[in-house]
Amino acid sequence: MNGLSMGSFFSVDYSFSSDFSEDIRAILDSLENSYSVRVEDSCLYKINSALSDVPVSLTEDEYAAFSRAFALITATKGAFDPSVYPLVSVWGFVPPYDTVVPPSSEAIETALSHCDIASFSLLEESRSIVKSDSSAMLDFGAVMKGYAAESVRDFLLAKGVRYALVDVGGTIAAVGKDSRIGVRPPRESKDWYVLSFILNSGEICATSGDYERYFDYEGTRYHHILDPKTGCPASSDVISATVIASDGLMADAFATAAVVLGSEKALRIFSSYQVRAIIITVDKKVICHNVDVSIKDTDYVLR
Amino acid sequence: MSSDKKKEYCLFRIWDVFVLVLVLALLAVTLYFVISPKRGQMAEVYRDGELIRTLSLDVDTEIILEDLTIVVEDGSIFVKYADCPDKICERRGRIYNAGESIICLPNKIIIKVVGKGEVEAIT
Repeated sequence: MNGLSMGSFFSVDYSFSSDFSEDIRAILDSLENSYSVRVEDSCLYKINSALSDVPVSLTEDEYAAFSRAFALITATKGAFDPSVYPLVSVWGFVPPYDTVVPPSSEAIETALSHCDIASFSLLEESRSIVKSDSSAMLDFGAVMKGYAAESVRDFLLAKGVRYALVDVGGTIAAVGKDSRIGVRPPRESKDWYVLSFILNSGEICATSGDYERYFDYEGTRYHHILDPKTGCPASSDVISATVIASDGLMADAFATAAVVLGSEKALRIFSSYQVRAIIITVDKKVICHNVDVSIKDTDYVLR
Repeated sequence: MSSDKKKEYCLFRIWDVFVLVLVLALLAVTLYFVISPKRGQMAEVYRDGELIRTLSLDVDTEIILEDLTIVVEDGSIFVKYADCPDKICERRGRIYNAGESIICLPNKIIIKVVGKGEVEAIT
C-alpha cells in the first residue's frame, strides 16, 4: 500500500493473506494526531501552547515516547534536541516552507534563548510534562518517521507477517528478509543513488542530510538541520548520514545528530551504541561503520 | 578418396556458420531482455493511496487525468502538466528506475516505478 502521511510519502509492501492497509493507516494517523505540532489536541500542540508550570498529562504511549526521545538527547550530547522548535520556526523550516531569507541574528538569539530542553520536565507520578518557560516548544519531526516505521514494523511482526518492507519517507524497516537499500545522492549525481547496502531483517535505517530541505541566499546554502548550540544550520563535514538500528527513534535521531556533530564525534557515539552507519562527507568520502557498501556513483570514494 | 575424407572432417561449412550466427543472435536478444533493467518496468499511479492506473513503461502513451497529464516515453514516465500551483511534480522530470517516485502533494497523486530494480528502496 502507498499513501501520504506526516507530509511525506510512505509505502508498505508485505506478503500476507489479510489486508492490513486500514490498520496501518490508523497507526500512522494516530501518530500524526499525537505528535504533530500542527494538529490541535495533539500532545505536542498542548505542550507548546501551555503556560509555564502547568502540567500536560500524557497517555502511556506518549510518556514512553517522550522518555525515549529525552534519552536520545543525552545519547547525542544534545545534537538531537526536540526543543529547537522556536528556532525551526524562526528559520521558516515549517509549512509552507516558503522562506528565502535567513533571519536576523537578533531573531536567532531570541529564539535560541527559548531553546533549552532543561525547560521541560517529565513527571513520572502524574505521567505528565511541565515546562518552566512558556515560550519553550517541542517538535518530534526529526524522529517521527523512525517512530512510524518502527510502529508499523512491530504491528506486522505481531500479526505474523513473514516478509515486509516499510518505507516512511525514506526511513525504512525490513521485516523477515534482508533488503538492498540505496542511499540518495546528497549532491547532483548522474545516478539516482550513490551507494547501496543490505538492511538486515528487523533493522531500521534512517538518513539525514543538508540536501533534504534548504534555501540559497546570496550564494550560501541554508539547510534545515539546525545546530542547537549556534542556532544556525549545522556546518560539519557530514552532508549525509545513514544510521541502521533496531530502534527507529534512535536511527532517526542519530542520523540528524551526525550532521550536527560531524563524523568524528558521531562515530564515537555510533560505536558506544552499537549501531551501523554510513557517513558521506563534504569531500565525497564514504565512511562505513560496520556496513558493507557497493558504490554506484564513482564520484564517491570509500575512506 | 583422400579429398572426400578431407571434406568430411572440415570443421565449418557455410550452413554451420549460419546456424552459429543465428544461435548467438538469439542468445544476445534473450540476454538483453533478461538482464536489461530498463525492460518490463511498470508504473503505478495512486490517488489518495488508491491505485488508479498501472502503466507499462515499454509502451509510449499519454494519460490525461482531470488535474494531471502523465506521459510515458522511451521507458520513462513524467508529469507533463499539473494544475497545482507549486508544479513540483512537473519539475521532478522523468523517472526510470524501480523505486523512484513522483509525488504531487496538492492533488494527492503518487506515481511509482515498480519492477526489476537493483535496490528495493531509497533512504
